[in-house]
This record gives sequence, C-alpha cells and structure tokens, in this order.
Amino acid sequence: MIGNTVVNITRVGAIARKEFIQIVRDPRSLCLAIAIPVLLVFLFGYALNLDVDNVPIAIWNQDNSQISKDFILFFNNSRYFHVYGYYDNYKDLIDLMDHNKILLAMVIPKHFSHLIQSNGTVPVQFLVEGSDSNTASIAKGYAESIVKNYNTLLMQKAISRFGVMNPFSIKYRPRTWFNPNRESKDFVVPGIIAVIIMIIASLLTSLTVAKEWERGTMEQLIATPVKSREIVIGKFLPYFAVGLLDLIIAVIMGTIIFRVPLRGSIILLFGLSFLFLTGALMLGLLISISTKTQLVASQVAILATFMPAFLLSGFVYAIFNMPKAIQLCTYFIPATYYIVVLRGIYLKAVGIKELFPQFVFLLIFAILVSGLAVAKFKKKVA
Amino acid sequence: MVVSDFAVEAKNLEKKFGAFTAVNRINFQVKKGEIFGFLGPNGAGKSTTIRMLCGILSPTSGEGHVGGFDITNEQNRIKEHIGYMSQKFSFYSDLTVEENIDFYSGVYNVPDRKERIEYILEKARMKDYRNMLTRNLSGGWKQRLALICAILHKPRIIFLDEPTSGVDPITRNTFWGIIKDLASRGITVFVTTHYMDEAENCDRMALIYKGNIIAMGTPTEMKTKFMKSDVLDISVPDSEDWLDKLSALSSVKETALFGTGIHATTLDSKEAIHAIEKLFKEKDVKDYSVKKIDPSLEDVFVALIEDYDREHGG
Repeated sequence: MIGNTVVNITRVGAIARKEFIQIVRDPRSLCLAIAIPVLLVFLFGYALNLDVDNVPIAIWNQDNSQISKDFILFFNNSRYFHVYGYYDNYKDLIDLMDHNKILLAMVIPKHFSHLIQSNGTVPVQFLVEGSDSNTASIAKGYAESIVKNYNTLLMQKAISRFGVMNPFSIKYRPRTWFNPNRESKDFVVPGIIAVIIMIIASLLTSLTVAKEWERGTMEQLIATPVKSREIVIGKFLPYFAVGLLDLIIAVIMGTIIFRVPLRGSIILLFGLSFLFLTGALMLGLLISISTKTQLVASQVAILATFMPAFLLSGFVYAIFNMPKAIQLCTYFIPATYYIVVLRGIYLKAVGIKELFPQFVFLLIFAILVSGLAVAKFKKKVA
Repeated sequence: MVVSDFAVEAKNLEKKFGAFTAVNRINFQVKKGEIFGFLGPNGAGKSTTIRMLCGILSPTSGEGHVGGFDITNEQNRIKEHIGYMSQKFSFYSDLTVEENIDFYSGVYNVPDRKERIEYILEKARMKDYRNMLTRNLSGGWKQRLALICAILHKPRIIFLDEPTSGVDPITRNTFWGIIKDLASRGITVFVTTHYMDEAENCDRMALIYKGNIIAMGTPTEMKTKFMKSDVLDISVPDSEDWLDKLSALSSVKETALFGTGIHATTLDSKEAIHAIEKLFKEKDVKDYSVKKIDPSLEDVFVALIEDYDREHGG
C-alpha cells in the first residue's frame, strides 16, 4: 500500500500549521523561543567571563624604600593586578579578605632593600584568598611570574655591574593560536548555540505531546487516519523553524555584538547544526511521547537534555579535568560533539575532514532518536 | 473487508486492564442508518467499547467489524470511514473555530477543503463565530463544533461518546435534532450516554452495566420485554419519609424518589396497590394517590440494574 510507505503532505502540513499557530499565539512559548536565546547570549557572553584580570591586591610595605616601591609598581603596571590599598597590619588584610575586597595580599618585610643590595634572599609573603581555587591559582601564577621577571631584572643589573653586557638568557616567546588574546568570550559564545538549542528541545518540544494527552486532544487526533510518523514530523517542523531562527539570532549576535570571529564555513556550520537540532528536538519529542503529563515531561527534559549539555559537554568545564568515569559519560552527550563542531568552525576554521567523527555521531544520533520517537508513539497509541 | 448488512458488529468482544474486566465478551449488531444508543452508568464500559470500535484501543479478545473493516487489523481503514467525537469535545482551545475545522479537514484529507469548510460553517450557522477562539465558545457551540469536526469528511458511521454531557437541556434537545437529521441521511450513529431519558431518541439500544450488556432492543421492547415488574406512581406528602416504610411491604420490590413522588416496582400491582392504600388509611394519610403507570426507560434501567446486582451479589 502506497499510504503505508510515504507520509501524506496534507496531513503533515495540517499538524505543522496548527502547531505553529499554537507557538506564535502562546506568549510563554514565544518568549521561550525568541527572548530566551537573546538573553542567554547576552548573559553568557558578558557574565560568563573566565578571564582573570585586574586582581585586587592589598599591600603592607614594611620597608618603604625606593626599591620596594619599584617592586610594587611592577605589580601595579601589569594588566593582571591593581593595587587596592596600602595597610600596616594583618587585621586590616584579613578584614579585606573577609569582605571579598581583595584576592591577594603582599607583605614586604623590613630591610627589603637592604637585603637586596647586600645580595641576600628576601622572603616576600603572599596571602591568597583561595575559596575559588581556580581563580586563586591563576592569580598565584601571575604573582609568581611577576616576581620571577623582577628577579631576572635584578640579576641582569647585578651581572652588568661585573661588566658583562649581554648575559645569556632564554627568551620565552609564546604565541597563542585561534584565540590570540585568550578572551573567554570567543570560547563561550559559540558554545551557547548548543545550550540554546537544548533549551528549546527541553522546554518547548518536550511539552507538545504531553500537552495534547493532558487536554484530551490526542484522543481525538489518534481516532483520525493520521499516522504516528506524520504526527511526529508535523510537530517537529515548526520547532525546527524556531531552532533555525535562534541559530541565526545567536550567530548574528555573536558576530556583531561580541565580535567572535566566524572563520570557518558558514554552510558547514548550518549543515551540522541541522543535524544537532534534529536530534535535540526529536529527543524532546521522545521525552514528551514517553511521559503523559507536562510537568514530568519538562523535568525529565531538563535532566536529560539541558543539564548535560550545560555541565558535561565541555561548554564551560573542560572535559579533560573531569574524573575518568564522567569523561566516559560525556561521550554519550550529543552536545559534546556539537560544541567541538562549533568551536572548530568558529575559531579554527576546520572543515568536514576534521569534523567527520562528530558528523557521523550527530547523524547517528538524529536518525536513532527520530526512529525511537516514531516507534514509541506507535506503541503508545496502539 | 467483509460485506454485511451491519454497520457495526461485536462478537465476544472483551477488554481487560490487568485483572479488571472493563468489557466482558459483549455481542451486538448495529444496522446501517440506525441510531444506536449505548447506555449505562459511568464506568460501565461504554467508552472502552467505543474506543475499541474506533481503532484506538486493541481488544483483549473477541472480534468486531466497523463498516466492514476488522477492528484488530484494519484500524486505519476504519479511521478513514468513521467520525469520532470524544468525551471532552477536545479541540484546540487556542485556535479559532475556522482553524480547528481547517486542521481536521487537513488531517482527514478532505477534498475541496475550502468549499467544504464554507459549506459546513454555513450549514451549522457558525459563520459569525469563525474567527473566535474556541476557548471563548459556550458549551453548546463547543459541542456543535466538535460534531462538525467529526463529520467533515462525510463518514458513513459516527461514534459519539457522551456528546451531551455538561450541556443544558435545550441544547441537548437541539443536538438530538441534528443527530436524527444525520441518521435520516443514511449515516449510522453510535452514541453513548448516561442520561437515560435521552434513550427514547434511539432506534435501538443496549444497556451495559459492569462490562456486560444486560438488555438490548427498541425502546418499546425495553419497556415490555425486559420489564418483569409493574411500576406504581405514588404521590403522598413527605414522600421521602415513606420510602422505607413502603419498601418494607412484602408485595413491593423497590422504591425510589421520582420527582416529588415515589416510583415503586412490584410483581403484582393489584396486591401492592391494595397494601399501600391500606397502610396509608391506617396511618391516617388523606392526600394521596396510587396508580399503575407505563414504565419510563429510566424505570426499566433502574430495575434491570437492581435485578442484575441482586443476582450477582453486587
């Protein structure tokens, strides 16, 4: 029978049209579809700043000589630190840390200049506010390298005093590729696209079937000749359009507002995004089909789609830092692959050759979930 | 497909949900063009039966044919030829009247869609409401819209599951007018209801109770063939005080309040009238009347259900 092998365009069209009207007419879903992506790009683009700059440092200078002042200036002139203030007791320093005013305190001992001039070793104390361990260790690293630079300078001065004009040295000449200024927005903004798509899948698509069971319209619908796959495809299409719109919004905002360079092929970006979008929306539909109330559907969806995409995909937290067992889990999260795609195309301009494994995974994921959604629906209805 | 004189047929049709038997091996036939009432109290198995016939629920055992198609393996063919109006008249409340009709005409693949929609809006006198969101429609119009959506594709058989529940009596009356009009044009109507007074509108009916069909026939047959007892209409002041006293009489089977009076069933009306009048005289009641009446369908159903419960220890 022909009717069993193809989908009927009229029926799919009727469902897609109806679903589209419902999205547009419901202020809540319209807001989720358009305002949330805009808000997320702004929020993550600006607030999710992983850069550590301008670390506030408090100083207790017990020496007060010209040399110690030079040393402090060395800190203040770097882009990594700014001097918060000068104090003369530990109580004040502790107080500042308690109130989150400073991240670092430096105590320069008495006889600092005297010891340096007599070629002795001077202990300079650094107190680090370590509650945010990541930021603390970055700040500690900055301080360490500034002290090292200052030491080198002193050493060179000392050597030149013995008449050696060009003392040997190894120059450290790093060059950062793909994100030369090491700005975290270039790293974060492309990844947001994955999170936005997952939010649509979890908050919009996951409700669409459950809503019809709750309201009783599904009962009416399954008494018509419409087929399971026609319902699934008909419901999928309008959300695909919404996802596509959000993708375009995010790409435009990233380029214009955040000036994130899109170095690779935009066609490849959209092509692979279609695959991920299909998989994510079908996953949302599958969840909606498997649950009969909207409440359960949205909770399951947040746990199954949005949370892993946010926490385990490498969007914010580096996968190689995770424990082995959790690293294993990340292999099963589609967003992990999609984020590699996004960052690869955006920052490294890589092509389909480099992204082939990701392409294969996203393709398998999309086909698998779509098939499961239709099969599950058939089973539920019969 | 089987060619048959019957629009709907059920043979030993059974549905179990776990250990619970919702429909217990029922048998019935509905002739083409007939209004067939499927009656019974809530939870009797009406909706389960209708859902099996419409191809949205698979029977546990037994067989059934709708429009000549098998309900266990030709569900899709059935769905093309029937109209179904589910219990809650559920359409999309955030869509307008016309959008809902358009949706179902698309889903049913109705040919010449635009003309058909115009025709049916005109016919149902709903043109003025076409752009109204269906959530703002009143109960009667909602019901009418649900029926429109079920007959858009000109089905030969329509299944209506409690179409009149929650609708006022006047609207119910108009609705039955529409149903009769459809039947007069050769459409078979299979309708469930728990309003026993509506049963008079049916050509034939089956009474289902606890998953069993306990009586079937025309309204006249129901009142004569199945009613073994006579019905007495008793009017007496403070009627509720007399219910127990009257049912305590040996010649009276059951008593029930009916309007402001009492209906009593009895196997021997002469003896019962005599006993009741004697009781009233003894108690010095003056303003009373006792007379034998033709039973209403409601009397028949109440009696049949009580007989059933008595026989089955319910």
